[in-house]
Amino acid sequence: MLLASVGFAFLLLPFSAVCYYLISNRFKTAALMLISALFLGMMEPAAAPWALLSIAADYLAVLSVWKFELKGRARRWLLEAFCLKNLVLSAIFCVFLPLLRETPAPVGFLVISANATIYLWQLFQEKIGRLDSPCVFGAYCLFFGRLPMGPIGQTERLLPLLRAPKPSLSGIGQGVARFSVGLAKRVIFAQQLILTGKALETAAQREFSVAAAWMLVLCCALIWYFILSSYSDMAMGLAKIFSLELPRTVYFPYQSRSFAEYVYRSNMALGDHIRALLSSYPAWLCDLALPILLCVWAAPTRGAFLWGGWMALLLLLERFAFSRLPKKPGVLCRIVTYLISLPAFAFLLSGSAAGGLALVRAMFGLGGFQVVSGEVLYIIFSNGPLFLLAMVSSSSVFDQADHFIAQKFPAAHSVLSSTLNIGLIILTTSFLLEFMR
Amino acid sequence: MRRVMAVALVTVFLTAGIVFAADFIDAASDAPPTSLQDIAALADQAVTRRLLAVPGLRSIAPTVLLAGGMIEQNGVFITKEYLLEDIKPGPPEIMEENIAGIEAFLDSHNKPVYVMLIPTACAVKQDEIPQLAPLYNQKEMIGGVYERFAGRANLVDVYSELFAARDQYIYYRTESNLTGLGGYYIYLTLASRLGFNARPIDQFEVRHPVHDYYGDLYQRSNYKNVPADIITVYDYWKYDRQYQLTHIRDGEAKCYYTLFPYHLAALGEPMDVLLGGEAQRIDITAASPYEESFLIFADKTALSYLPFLTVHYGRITVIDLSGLTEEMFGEIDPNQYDQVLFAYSADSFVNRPVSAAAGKLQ
Repeated sequence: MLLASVGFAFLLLPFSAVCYYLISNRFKTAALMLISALFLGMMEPAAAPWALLSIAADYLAVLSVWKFELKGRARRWLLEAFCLKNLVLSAIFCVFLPLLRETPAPVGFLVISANATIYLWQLFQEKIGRLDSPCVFGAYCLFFGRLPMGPIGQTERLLPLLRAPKPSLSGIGQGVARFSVGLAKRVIFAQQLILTGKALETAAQREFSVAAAWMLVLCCALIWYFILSSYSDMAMGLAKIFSLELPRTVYFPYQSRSFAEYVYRSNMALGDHIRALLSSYPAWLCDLALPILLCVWAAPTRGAFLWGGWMALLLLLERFAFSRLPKKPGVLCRIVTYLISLPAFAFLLSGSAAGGLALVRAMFGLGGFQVVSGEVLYIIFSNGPLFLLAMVSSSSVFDQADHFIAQKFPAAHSVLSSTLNIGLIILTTSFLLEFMR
Repeated sequence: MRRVMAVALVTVFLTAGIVFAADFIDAASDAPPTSLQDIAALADQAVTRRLLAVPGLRSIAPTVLLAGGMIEQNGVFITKEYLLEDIKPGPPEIMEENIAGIEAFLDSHNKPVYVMLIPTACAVKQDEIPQLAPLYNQKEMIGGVYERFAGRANLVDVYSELFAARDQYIYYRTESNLTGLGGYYIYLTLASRLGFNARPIDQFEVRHPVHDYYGDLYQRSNYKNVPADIITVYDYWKYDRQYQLTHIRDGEAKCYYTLFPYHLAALGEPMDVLLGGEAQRIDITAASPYEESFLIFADKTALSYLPFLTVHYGRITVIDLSGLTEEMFGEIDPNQYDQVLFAYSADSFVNRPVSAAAGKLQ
């Protein structure tokens, strides 16, 4: 992935930022659009032309609405037709073809289509009151920082800043720091957990055990979180570097008190748009739609859809059955939510219903497996600090500590955060060199 | 964020961009990119090359992982003083092919044939590796292979000798091979099986032509806080010996009048001071009272014990079967030799077809 590479972090990104800021404000948006198109071409050379053609067609639709002052049914049909076009193209390129060919979905296609669709939809609802230039529309759809995982939409935040960029030095500094955090999550936590997961799989093939089942599922859950969270942080950081604002996408889902909160926190931007879209439909439909769309978003594989199915089932049970149960204390809610949602990752990992069920059974000691094997114990001990740190980092502990220190000791916080940022950049660079071996 | 810190971060960020841009332009002028992906790849190469040159940067990640308990990284165990390669067996067919090759040789030649499988450092120095680490059981593998040759070939068990000397410097710290001292212990065991008395070690002059050698494991691992290796040669001094060493590697034949061409260390190949280094074929003739000849099919482990064997033979030929051309096969006549030895490290035997071609020799 381009964003998590030394070439991008140390050369292409600074170079792009320098070019962006050297250009006058009048042409900044065009420059950003061009930079984003180039990065899209680097990430997905095959799919990039289709994505660009698609948004060009979408802009023509927008232009038609404004130029010909289309109203009523004509306006509606035109915009709905292009939204449908985007939906169909996304379904083909990002769901059906990847499922059929068992290949990953093209990076960025879904985000670009979703951004364009949301723009068209908000134009239809007259929430966008003016005709944007093709560069503003292009930059909004294509902004490279959010191509891997979003957040989608955000017209109310992005369009004003794209129409009138407001560079800020401290914003750039914040962006660099945030981007480094995201990069660290990807190349340190996610990558090391992936290597550990592979070692666990090899160990489990030789001698399966209950501990192996739990560690595999836990590993998978942590990888899922760190990959989603890393791209969320990188998107925020890259936006700041280019004087834009993007919200957080992922917010500590593993400390949620309910399944609805869990799924929402896994992609808050997507959750907001789905709720807005389905606001006039029964709430349970949103419960079904959100986890399924989340898997399409993260990874359109059989295993991901099974994960989504499990989560959808839990959401429905929560709405129609668990809501009648007496309220539990917050901590207990969080623990129960985490433990009950964990087996969903067994399906994500195994990629099949039968495999997932077998893994879940093994997690609960069914199947006659030994409790733990020597090899798994060795992996646990070798990676204990990594798991511990990963689990703490997947909670809001560090975030809250940061806020606490910032409020109580602002001067110390400034020095500490700057030192830690520089240390993190050095550490991440070293891990990036390992990552790219 | 305080303005000063923001300025510092931005300055570092932009300076990095400028420095690496210069490297990128250099790289692009050598190999102009033709697509966007080429640009991304070139950017990665240029930046990686520059970052790898920063002292200590590469070591930070493995050091942090090691501090967190990850003693095995990229298939190498990192101990206080050693990098120990974690040996895992390849497909079983490879070992079977090797066994079949030796069996075919045994069937077609009526010669005293010896078989020696040498355990690697991670088997002998397993005390330094966590007990729970799933190590490949090399002793069991060697025992199993020896059972297949029982009664047909003479088997040389060096495991016990090496294990007893495990606290000594018998394996290189940064290379997956035996040192000269490790070679001496192999020589001691071989001598008793081959039927001659091993010379005591004080009859060999010990020299250290290279003090700062970093081998293949060092290059493979990003962990660099391991002491350098010392390449030690054991040169027989008790009686005068004149040697002629013919070394064939990659089709090029070189002739030396010493077992230890020290000048090769200065040419950037420190290991080549030992008999010219690894080769497809090494022929050693010695002006000595011994006329016996010895044919050895071996891998690079032969470099450790060969200098000791040259004391007892008039002629030794060492062949790396896996690297021979068809023409070179034709030049080997096992009938010209008094004894034959198949000697490989456990790693080579289970992972590469080192002796599979032995059956082709007539």
